[in-house]
Amino acid sequence: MKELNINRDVPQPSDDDLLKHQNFEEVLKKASHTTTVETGNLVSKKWWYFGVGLFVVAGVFVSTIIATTFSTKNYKKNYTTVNQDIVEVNKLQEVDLSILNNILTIENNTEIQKESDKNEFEQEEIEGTVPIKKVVQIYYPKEASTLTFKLEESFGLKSQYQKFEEFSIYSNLSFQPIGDYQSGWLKASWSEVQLVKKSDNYFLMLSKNGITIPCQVVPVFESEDYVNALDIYAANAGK
Amino acid sequence: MKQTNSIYHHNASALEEERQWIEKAKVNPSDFGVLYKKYYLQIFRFVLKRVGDENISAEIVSDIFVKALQNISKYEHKGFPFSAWLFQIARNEVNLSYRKEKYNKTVTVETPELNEVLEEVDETQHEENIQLLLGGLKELKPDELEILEMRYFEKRPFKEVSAILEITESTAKVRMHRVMQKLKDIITRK
Repeated sequence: MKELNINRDVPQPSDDDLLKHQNFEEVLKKASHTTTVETGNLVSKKWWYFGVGLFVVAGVFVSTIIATTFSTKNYKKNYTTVNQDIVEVNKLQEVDLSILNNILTIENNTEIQKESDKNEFEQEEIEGTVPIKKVVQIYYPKEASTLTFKLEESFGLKSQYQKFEEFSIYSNLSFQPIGDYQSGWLKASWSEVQLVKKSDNYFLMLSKNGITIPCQVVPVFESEDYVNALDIYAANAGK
Repeated sequence: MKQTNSIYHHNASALEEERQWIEKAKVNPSDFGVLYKKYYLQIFRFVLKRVGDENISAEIVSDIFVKALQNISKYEHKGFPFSAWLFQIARNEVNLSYRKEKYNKTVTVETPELNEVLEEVDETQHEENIQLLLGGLKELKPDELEILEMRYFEKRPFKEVSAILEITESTAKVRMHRVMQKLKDIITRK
């Protein structure tokens, strides 16, 4: 923290003094100025239309690519069909496995993990020759706000997440699902669970009957675990 | 703590009226003026206590309401008064201005409030302990100081503190307890 000024018993301005600064018109003006792009004042209308046209063309192009990709893989249709609820999760054997496997399989994520390990290995090699201290970014604890996965210890989830440097100092970490997921997943009995990190996002790869479903999660701590985690973070963050 | 911030205690009809103004403001920004006038002083004092300079505070307050107006369409009523949402924006803006290194963080406090903290940590209320307490404030982490300010120097109920900090009420209480324990340790060790 920078220097802290302490104003003790300093007389405060009156309400009238403060109200002199009140200017709603200015707020309205500023808000509209930054929300509606007044490009007419900055560039000519000609360039403005050209920009809009270019944006529309780019949008159509990107949309076409996305639509083509998803329609060929039949991604959305099968993903939502398969993941409707926990009952259907238990019947996944009847679903076309080849399509689901295109989503994000354990193999893919193993490859991601391998790539990550490789990068770490290369980083360590570099560090071996150059005396640079590697900075470990410790995960700042978040408190659980909804239900979290209740997974058996046999999945070895603890040892999995402790392999991630940011979680290595914690125990009692829980995982709270976010985004598109079925509530039944939280209670389902899975045959295998793997924690995967991809682009700073964490996924639990939930497997059953040969099917793997990726579920994006947020690492969280529940009630007292959260308070303890804050202490652990405070004790380790500066090291 | 006997005294509480009565601003937070809305009745159902006042909340409903406020919700109507929010919905109007989502459609017509000019209708935001009612909310602006209603909360202007509260937000100004919140900022002023943390910034210390009236003119800089006025600029920050203006930015706060601009951001509120720009984002009001995203506002959803979650059981807290609209003010809690505004204070969240205010808190973010104040912290942002600290990071820009325009000025040092300021804590505005009255002697009776300091005595109240001393009473809470079972220490005698005299000037020597007050000086130790003021020194202790400088040793607190930003989030620790923040919760102390809201709870003891601004008399906010835990419900409002938790809403502004976006944490649960029980977490706010645990944090507050730890801050008081830390202050007690600081005072007694010197």
